[in-house]
Amino acid sequence: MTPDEWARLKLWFGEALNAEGAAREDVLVRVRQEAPELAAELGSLLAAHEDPGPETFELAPLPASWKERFSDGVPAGLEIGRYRVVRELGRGGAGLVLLAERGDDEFHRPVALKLLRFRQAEEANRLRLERGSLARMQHGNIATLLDWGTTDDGAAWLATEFVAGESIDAYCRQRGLSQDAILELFAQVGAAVEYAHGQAVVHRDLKPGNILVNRHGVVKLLDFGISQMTDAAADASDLRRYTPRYASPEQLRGEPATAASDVYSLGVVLGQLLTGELPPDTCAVPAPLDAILNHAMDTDPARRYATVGAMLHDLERYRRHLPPREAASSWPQRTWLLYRRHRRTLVFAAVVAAIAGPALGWWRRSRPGEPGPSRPMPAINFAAQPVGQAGTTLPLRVVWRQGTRIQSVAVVTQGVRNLDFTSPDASACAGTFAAGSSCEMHIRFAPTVEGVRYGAVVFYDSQGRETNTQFILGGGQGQESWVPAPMPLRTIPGLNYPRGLSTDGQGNAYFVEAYANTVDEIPADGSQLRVLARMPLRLQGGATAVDGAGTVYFSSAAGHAIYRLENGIPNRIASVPSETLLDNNLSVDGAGNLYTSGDTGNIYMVAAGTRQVVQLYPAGRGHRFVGMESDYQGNLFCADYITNALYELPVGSAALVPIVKPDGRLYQPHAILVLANGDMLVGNDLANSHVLRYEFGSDRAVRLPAVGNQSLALYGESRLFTVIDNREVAVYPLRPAEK
Amino acid sequence: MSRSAPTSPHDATFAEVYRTLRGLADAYMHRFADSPTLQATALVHEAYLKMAHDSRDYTDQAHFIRTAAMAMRQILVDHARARQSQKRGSGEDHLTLEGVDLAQPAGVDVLVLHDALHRLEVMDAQQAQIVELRCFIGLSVVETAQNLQISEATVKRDWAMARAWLRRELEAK
Repeated sequence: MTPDEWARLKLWFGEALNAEGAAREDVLVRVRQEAPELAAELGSLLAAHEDPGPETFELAPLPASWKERFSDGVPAGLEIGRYRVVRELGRGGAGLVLLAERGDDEFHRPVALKLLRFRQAEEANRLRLERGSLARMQHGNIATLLDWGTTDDGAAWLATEFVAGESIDAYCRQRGLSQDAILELFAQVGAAVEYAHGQAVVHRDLKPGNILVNRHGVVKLLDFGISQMTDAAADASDLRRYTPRYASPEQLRGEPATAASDVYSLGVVLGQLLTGELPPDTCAVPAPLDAILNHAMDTDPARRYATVGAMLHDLERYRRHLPPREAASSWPQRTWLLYRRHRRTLVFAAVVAAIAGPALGWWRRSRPGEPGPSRPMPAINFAAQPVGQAGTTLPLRVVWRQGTRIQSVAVVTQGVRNLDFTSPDASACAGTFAAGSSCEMHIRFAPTVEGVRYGAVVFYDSQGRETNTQFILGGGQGQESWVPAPMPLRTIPGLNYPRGLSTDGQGNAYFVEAYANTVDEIPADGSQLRVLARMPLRLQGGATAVDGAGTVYFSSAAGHAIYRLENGIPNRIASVPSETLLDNNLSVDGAGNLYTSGDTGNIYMVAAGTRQVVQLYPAGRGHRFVGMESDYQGNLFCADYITNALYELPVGSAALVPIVKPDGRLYQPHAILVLANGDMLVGNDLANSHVLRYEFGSDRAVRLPAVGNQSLALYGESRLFTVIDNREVAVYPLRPAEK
Repeated sequence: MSRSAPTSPHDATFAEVYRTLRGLADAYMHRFADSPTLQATALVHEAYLKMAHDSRDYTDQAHFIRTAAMAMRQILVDHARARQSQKRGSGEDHLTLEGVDLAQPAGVDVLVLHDALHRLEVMDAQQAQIVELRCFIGLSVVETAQNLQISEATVKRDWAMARAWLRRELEAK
């Protein structure tokens, strides 16, 4: 068909499109008379047009990795090198694991064949170097490397001794092993890791799944050094090959793993075996063991056991009822844990949080990736009195456990300075302090605040760096419920799907326009809407967040990424290419860690100062957290669009805690706010837009006057920002509810 | 925004956009080979920011998008061709795939679509461009209309016709 013929055809086709049914037939009849040479083609095109089919063409995925190619399992009999596949054993981040046997071996000895993926051919050369040291490793508790090779499409394979056994956690659980038996088993694990460290090989991914026990009770470690090889093949922005819950803070920060990282992971594994919990709640074990575990899991690699041998030595001393030699007792942690555990139920309780160095260490460690140990961390002892009520004052005594120098002090709540409470005499805690010295300050609560839920005192060193962040206050109960006034103060119309509202400490509000592809600011001074940034393509959804310093972040659903605005220019700081990031769920905690969530239910964190995406909560459990907010500490409050429930994901935990179960009122909740007094506001039901309020500690909803709900943000206790009908942002003043 | 001259794969902008996108695409696709169009949006965002950051002032965003769509198409085609040749490649330690039935993935083969689009370009360049914008970086009808500075009705009609023709062509494969 020539361009001319096609142009004529286009006219007829357009006419036929505008006609319906019989009229369309009429067009065809006319074409047969007027342009018979085009009639057949037109008929055929119209038939193809009327064919029910997808609106657009979905491109087929490119034939790709082993994992994808064999997504339905690897066929038995497939030959790889000298080996013939028997069946698939498993698949993980690094590749596929297959049970295979040598084709030329009459004894059919089984091997475990691991298929790895590499980015570039030259990375395979690196493998050649690495495996030299692996091949030299001969230890009864390490699965022996037997053979290796590369396939022509970039997959390297390793054949190791096949271990018929089960993972060490399953082994301990099923046999109900005693503490002593667990320690004995663990000694084999430690011995193997110690041996490898002696050969200059670091495991980097120690976890129960890599520690098998055969039926004779012999431990075999798998995958030594494998994560090292695949890591070398991954670039800096890549997700690393480790398992976040067992990985050390330095690994989560993207720093190279060392022997100390293995010590950390061993601590987590042993803690899990002893307590059955992950992360291990070490309160459940006897104090000396607690101390050993915490020493192994110190946030600062330099303060951990210097060698695996030293840790094993302390464990052996414990079994012989001798006190640990290296690990100091960490009693204050108990107080801390007790406090954390009962935090939600505390109502005007006297919180006497005696928080000392190790406790702080625990807290910091449980926040994966937080940059902590590299900074000076003066351990402090808070002696907090009963939590303050509105207009009252709380005396606070800080006992310095180490010598320190403090340049300035700030009192903050929810990442925002001095909103709910202040300390006019905080400067008393600035200066140079010797170990054991103390200073005092008084926290004064704003008259509008009844019971502050959380807050922190932040100390800055001479370079303006945050040296410490610590909580001082437990749960409170709002005496007053705040509701939006019936009329908005201000509305900003003409928007195109505003989403992900947030506010900064000055009362400026930010949001994205999902289909205008902009990041906008509503200035607090009442001036006109400002467009801060424009993106070239659709955002299709997303959210904003502002940290304590006023830096604006936003996420893009279609861009699969989180950006930071730097002088008005978006800079991509993290991407999650496999997921569409959801609306209303970007948030930042007091330490600057960012949180977001994807459409398959994954919850992610980008640790402050890094570009590393860490998965906090795994997908595939039937959740979709449209609407998620973190508090100052990094506890996440999640509105689940699928199960119609509200959850909390506490800091350091991988388990969701239900806050409000499906109550018949929650329906497709998609925005959530946590007020300073602990109350929650929930944007509910897209079709019948409204906002529900759950008072702190209560699961009974109160429906607020219609204020729009597609996104919510709050400025202190004075302003509520909401989205109405996908095209308008309204700013409501808050006022006390009538009793 | 004025409608600038159609981009050709030979001009400097194309080369620059292609290079940037290609670098990003290589990193992405190795990890996430599925749903290339979905990631295309992310890639184009990133390429744009990167290039806007670097020096060039991309005031004509529409032109950038058209260039990016074309570059994206070329990148996907290059990738697909590379994969094809790998399958035929030779070397040691062969992985034998004889007798193994690999499930055909759902969706349109990039190379098949590319060839068909090539034939459509000869007959109607605008329709081909509409398909490129819609399929390779996922613009909507409205966005396509804005980008090409033509009416939505025209986009709808051209898209319907091109789609009908492509459906038939792809089915014949």
